[in-house]
Amino acid sequence: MLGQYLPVESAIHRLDPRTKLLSVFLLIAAVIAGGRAGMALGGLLTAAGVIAARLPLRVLWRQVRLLGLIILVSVLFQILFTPGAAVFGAGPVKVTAQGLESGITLFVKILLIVLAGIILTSTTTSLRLSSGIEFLLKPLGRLGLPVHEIVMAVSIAIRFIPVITEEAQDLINAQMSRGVGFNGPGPGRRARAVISLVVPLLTGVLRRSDDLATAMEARCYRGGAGRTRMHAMAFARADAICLMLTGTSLVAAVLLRVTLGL
Amino acid sequence: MPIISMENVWYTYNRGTPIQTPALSGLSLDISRGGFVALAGHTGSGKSTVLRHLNGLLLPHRGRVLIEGSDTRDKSFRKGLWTRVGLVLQYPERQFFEETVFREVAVGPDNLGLSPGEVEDRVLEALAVVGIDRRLAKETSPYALSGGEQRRVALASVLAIRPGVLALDEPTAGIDFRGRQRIFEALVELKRHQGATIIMASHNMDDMARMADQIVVIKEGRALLEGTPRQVFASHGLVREAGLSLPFPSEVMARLREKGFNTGTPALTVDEAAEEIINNMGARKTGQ
Repeated sequence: MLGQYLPVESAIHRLDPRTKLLSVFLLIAAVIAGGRAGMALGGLLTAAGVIAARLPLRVLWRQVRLLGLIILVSVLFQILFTPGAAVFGAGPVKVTAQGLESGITLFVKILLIVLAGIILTSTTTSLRLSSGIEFLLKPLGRLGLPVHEIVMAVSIAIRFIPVITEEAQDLINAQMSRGVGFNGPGPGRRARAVISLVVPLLTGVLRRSDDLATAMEARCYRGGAGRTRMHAMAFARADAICLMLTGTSLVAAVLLRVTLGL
Repeated sequence: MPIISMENVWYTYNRGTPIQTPALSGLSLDISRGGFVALAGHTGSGKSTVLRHLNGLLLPHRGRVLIEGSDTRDKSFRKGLWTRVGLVLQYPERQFFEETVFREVAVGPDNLGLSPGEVEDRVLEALAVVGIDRRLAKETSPYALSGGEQRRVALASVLAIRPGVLALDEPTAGIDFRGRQRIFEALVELKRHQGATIIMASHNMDDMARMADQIVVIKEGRALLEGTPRQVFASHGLVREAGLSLPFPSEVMARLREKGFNTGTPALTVDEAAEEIINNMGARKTGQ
């Protein structure tokens, strides 16, 4: 599944979530704004990240593949519809040198951004991720935005994705055991199959959210004000190194692009 | 020939990913026709995985599962398997989606492609077995019933398919004493009068002692111990090793024996235990 946390021991797993969020942000900025130098440096950092996070290539590939169609379509559009001198083509379809170049560039950029995101989500639990996001968004609280509550709602939603996926699987099993055919013939039967899944799933979600609200109130949850953390986030030397690497890459890539036009 | 036979079955969830978890590790099991078999095991022992293999929801990664002699890996056989092996998953009342109790129980028979009259016969019969008032059925939403009644309607929705084998996953979890009695009455009725084969996963040892004629203790995806309730509860060391307790009367007798009283076979019911204790009243501790 896309964005699934992988419980492995690694240097990247141990980094502060704020560091990882900022680093991914810097890396993406370098890839987008840094021209070829940005892509090269971004590529190096991403590769280093994958190795340091001890992510199996098979898992990486599985997640990238989920976005395969989107990547493929946007790259194809770029190749086919960029005007310029045709390299080869037949009839109305022609491939230009410029199109080929911008297509490949786009492919590399999207791939690096996706990989950076995968490194982030597979090395950070949703709880730590939301703590990091909450910290980084804190300044917006001054503008009256309920940052804590928004982050709480989003992280609860993320937390429940696997729970609800499992419940859906159980429901499919239960209905199949009563002969409900999910790929049987006839649109009427298939519509019924969908209803047999959606209705109980929705009931389940409502039941769960009700239970959760009660449980939170029973523990005197009152929102963000005055709330402390069980696992305080701590900034370590590894975090400084990581931020320095990504930050320097961004600056270097932009400088190289501006001065040498790379 | 056993009606169900699992031969050296292996199964792993999320196989080939870093979060893979082995569930069955070479489990073998034979169940004879008309038996009432209880699968006993701690949470995560693999009980539910066994049940999901019985109607082909899961297929073994290694080994094979035979139902009435046919392999569940055979696709055309698997297609009709739900009519032979009825599976009642945990908290089955969560699968309700129809507007009335009647329609809910009719889902299975409808999918069998029966005539409306035959569907009605089956629904009313199934409701009678679980003791739900047929007058209620056509107007009441299944969600309007009490927890115990909902559980029995869910049971009826599988019984209406009239499967020869009924597999149940913790059918009495979260149900009060009275509701539990009624569910067991329904199961006894099925077994006695319709000759159904029943396989029930549970960790309530008192229920198993009372209901089952064969108990299979599962630990870490393997059958650790197998036999009649009396045989199984006699090896209380192994039962505890599997993370299970003994039924209350057997537990009392086992502790008395540990204290040096000469109590014989493990008692399965309170009456049996009481009789044993009375017979032993005058007996001295053997160590003295």
